[in-house]
Amino acid sequence: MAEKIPINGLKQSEQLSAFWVQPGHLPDPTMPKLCRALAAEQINIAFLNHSTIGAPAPGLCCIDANDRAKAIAIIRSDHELSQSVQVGEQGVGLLSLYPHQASLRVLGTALETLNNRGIMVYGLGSSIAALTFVIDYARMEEAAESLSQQLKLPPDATPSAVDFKVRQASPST
Amino acid sequence: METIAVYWESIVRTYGFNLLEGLTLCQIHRPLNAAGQWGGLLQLPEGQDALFRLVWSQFDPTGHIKFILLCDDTQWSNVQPFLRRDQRLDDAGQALVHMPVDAIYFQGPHFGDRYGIMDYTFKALARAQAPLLAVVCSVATIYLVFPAGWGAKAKQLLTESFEIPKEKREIAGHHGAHR
Repeated sequence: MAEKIPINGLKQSEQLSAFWVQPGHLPDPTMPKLCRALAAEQINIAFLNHSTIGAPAPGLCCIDANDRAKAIAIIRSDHELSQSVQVGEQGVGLLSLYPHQASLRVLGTALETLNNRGIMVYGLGSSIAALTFVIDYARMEEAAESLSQQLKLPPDATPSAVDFKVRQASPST
Repeated sequence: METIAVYWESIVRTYGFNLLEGLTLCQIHRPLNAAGQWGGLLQLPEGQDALFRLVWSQFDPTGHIKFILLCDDTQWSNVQPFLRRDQRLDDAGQALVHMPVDAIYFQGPHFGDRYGIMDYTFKALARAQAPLLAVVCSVATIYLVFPAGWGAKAKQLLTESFEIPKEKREIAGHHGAHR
C-alpha cells in the first residue's frame, strides 16, 4: 500500500446554500449580474467557480445559508436571473484540506476517497494552499473522517469547524 | 455558542496581483461515476512529479463532471500522461480541451469575509472588455483565467481599480516579473 500523503489539516465551513448559474457564451453576463445583486445586498460569496471553457457546465456560487432567503428574493425579482439561476435544495459545505502541495496525488486521493464513500462532489477549487470540496453539509463529518483516514494528519489534529464568524457590513446597515 | 464579529473597511485592499503567463489548460469531462477512477489514476507513483497551478471542477446535473487543470508549460509532460491514461477508461462523454492561457490570482487581508469583491472585479474587467474565460474563488483567493497574451493587460486593469498598499505593490511587481 502506498505511503499516506502528509497534510497539515482539514477545515469545515458552516452550512452554505448553493446557486447554479446556467452556462453561457462569452461575454456571459449572468454570473456578473448575480454577483452584483449579491453585493447590493451585502451578501458575501464563500465559494464560486464559473467558466466558459469546453463542455458547458453550470457555474456554482455558495453563500451563507442564513442569506439564502434574501438571495432567492433577489433572483426571483429579476427575469434574467430567475431564468438562469437554479437554487440548490440541500445545504452544502466546504471541506478544505491543506496544503495541497500542487499535487495531483493529493487531488486523486481525495477524489477517490470521497467517491468510494458515495459522497457527491458538487464542485472543487484550489486556492494558493488549500483544495476545497463542495459537498452535502449533512455528510461533512463523514467526509472529513474518511479523508483523515486516507491522508496523514499531524498527531492530535482533528478537522476544525467554524466557531467564530466574521463578516463585513457597511456602517449604514 | 457562535460568536459573530462585524466590521467595515471602506476600501477593497489586496496584497497585489500575481500574474502567471504561458500556462497550459486542459479539461477532462467525465461521467460522474468515473470521477473516482480518475482520482485513482492520479495516485500512481509517477503522479508525484505532476504539479498543477490551479484546478477546479464543475458538476453537471446531466451526470458529468468537468475538471479543468492549469499547469506550467514545464509541467505539461508530467501531467499529460494522466490525461492519456484516462482515455483507457470508460470514455463515454470524454472531451479533452487543451489551450494556452494566462492566469491572475490575488487575495486580500479580508477577502474571506468581504462581500462585493467579485462584483468589483467583474466591473473592472468589463470596462475593458477583457475576455475572462474562468473565475474560481476558493478560501480567500480569487483566480482569473484569460486567453494567452491577455494576462498582463488584465493585471494592469485590476491594479488601477484596487487599492494595493505601497509595500505590497512593490513586492507584487517584483514577483510578477518572475512568474
